Amino acid sequence: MMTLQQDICNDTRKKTPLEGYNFAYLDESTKRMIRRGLLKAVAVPGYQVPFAGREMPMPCGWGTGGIQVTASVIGEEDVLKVIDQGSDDTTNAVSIRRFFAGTTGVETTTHTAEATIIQTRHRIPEHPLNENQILVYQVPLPEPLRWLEPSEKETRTLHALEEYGLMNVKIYEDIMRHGAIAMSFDYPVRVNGRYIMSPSPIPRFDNPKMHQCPALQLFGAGREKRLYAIPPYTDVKSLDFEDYPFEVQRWEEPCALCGARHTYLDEVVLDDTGRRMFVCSDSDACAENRARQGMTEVSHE
Amino acid sequence: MSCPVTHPAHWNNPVRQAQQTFRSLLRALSRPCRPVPLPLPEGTAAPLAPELAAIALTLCDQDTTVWLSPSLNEESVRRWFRFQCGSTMDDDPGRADFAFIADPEDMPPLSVFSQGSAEYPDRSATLCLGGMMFSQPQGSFSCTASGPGIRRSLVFQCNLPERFLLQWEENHQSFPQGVDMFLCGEGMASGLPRSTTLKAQEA
Repeated sequence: MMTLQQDICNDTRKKTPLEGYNFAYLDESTKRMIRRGLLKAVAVPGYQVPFAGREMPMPCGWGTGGIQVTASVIGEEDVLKVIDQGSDDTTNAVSIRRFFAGTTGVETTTHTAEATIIQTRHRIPEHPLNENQILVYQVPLPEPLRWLEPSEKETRTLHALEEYGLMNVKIYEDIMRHGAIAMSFDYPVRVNGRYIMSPSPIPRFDNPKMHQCPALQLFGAGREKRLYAIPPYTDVKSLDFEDYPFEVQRWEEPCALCGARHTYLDEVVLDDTGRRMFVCSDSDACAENRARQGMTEVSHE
Repeated sequence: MSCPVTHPAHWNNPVRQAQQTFRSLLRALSRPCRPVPLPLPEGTAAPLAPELAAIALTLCDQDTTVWLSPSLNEESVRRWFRFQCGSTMDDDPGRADFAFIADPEDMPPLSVFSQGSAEYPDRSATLCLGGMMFSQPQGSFSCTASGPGIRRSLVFQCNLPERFLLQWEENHQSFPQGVDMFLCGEGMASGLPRSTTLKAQEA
C-alpha cells in the first residue's frame, strides 16, 4: 500500500501515456464536438450549450462532465491539478488525476500556482488564479431554475425571454421563511448582466472569486449533457435584494491547523463525544500556510 | 492554377496540432481582439489561407456544414474540405455552421448567416475571415473593444472596412443571438465573439 503523499509524488512526473488509448481517452471526433460547444459557450457567457456527452470509464456523478471538458482542452504541455472539495487527496481527485496521468502522461501538481488546468469539484482554490489558467468545474445540475420548473422546454424559454421572476420569488420566500437567503452552496449568479447560471455546488463563500476572475472558467455537466463558460474578466453577480445583500459565510475561529482566518473551513468531527475542529477545505493553501509558519507536523491532540 | 491535390494542407500530428490550434482559438475567443499565433498546417489548400485551413482541420468534420465565400468557392477547395474534413458544403450561408471568407471585401452582410434561435443561440454560424492585418493596418480601422474577456477596454486595429462597425453593432445588439468571428491573418487569429462591443475611436 502506498500512502497518499507517495501516490501524488508518483503521479506528478511526466510519463508516456497508456498504449491503446487516444491522447486523453476521448476520440478526436468527440473532442471536436465538445470544442465547438466550448467556443459557443465562451461566446455566450452563462448560456448552457447542449452536447452529446459520452460514456466515461466512471459513473455519472463522479465528474464525467468535467473530465470530458478537461480531455478536450488538455495538451502535452499542461500541468494538471484536480481537487475535490478543495482537497487534492480525496478519492475523486486521486482517481481523476490518475486517469489523466495515465491517458495523457502530463505533469500533475497539487500546487494551485503551478497548474495550467485545474479541474475542481465544488471549490475554487484560495490562491488567486492567473490569466494562463483554466478552471474546469464538475457540475451535477446545470439548470439553476430546475427546482422551480421541472420542464426543460419551459426553463429554456424562461432563459430566452430573460424571465427570472421565479428565482426572485424563491429568494424572497427564503427570506420570509428563514430571515435570510438560505442557500449556502450552488448560489445562483447572473453572468454579464444576462443569463442566470448555476456556479455548481461551490460554497457561496467562493462566489465572489468568479467575478472578474483572470482565468477562463469552463463548466461541464456529464449526466445533463451541458457545457457553459465564464470568460476572463466577466461580471458575475450573486443574486440578492438591495435590503438583503449577498454575504459570504464567516467563522468565529481560525483554521485549527494553519490559523488562517479568511479561508473556507470544513467542520471535522473528532470523536463520539461531540468534539470537533474547523480546518481549511483547501488542503494546498493550508499546507502552504503551515510551511510559511515553519510548522511541519500536524498535531491532532 | 493551384494544385492542392499533390500536397494538400494537413497536420503531421493531428491529435497534438488540433489540440494546440483549439487552445489558441479558445484563448483568442476568451480574450477578444488580442491576436493569438496559430499553428499552421503543412502543405497548401490555396486559395484557402493557411490560418483558415488550420481552423477547418481543427473544428470541421462530418457534423458541420461549411459555406465558402465567392472567391474561395472553387472545386479544389470544396474537394479539400470534403476529403480532409468530411464536411457538407452548402451555398446557402443561412444553413452553414462555419463560413470561410477569403478577405473583408469578400464578406457578405453578417445578417445573412445563421443567428441561432432565442432558445438555442449556440446554433449560430462561426465566421472565419482571412486576409487580416493587425500590425500595419491599411486603411484606418481603429476601435475600442470592451466586453467579457477584456479587462476594462482595449484599442483594436485591423484592416476591416469602416462599414463593418455598423454591422457588428447590429450583431452585438441581438445578443444572445448573433454570429461569432475569427479574424485571421499573419499567422494569427483574433476572436470576436458576439458579446464584444466595438466603438469607433475619435480621431
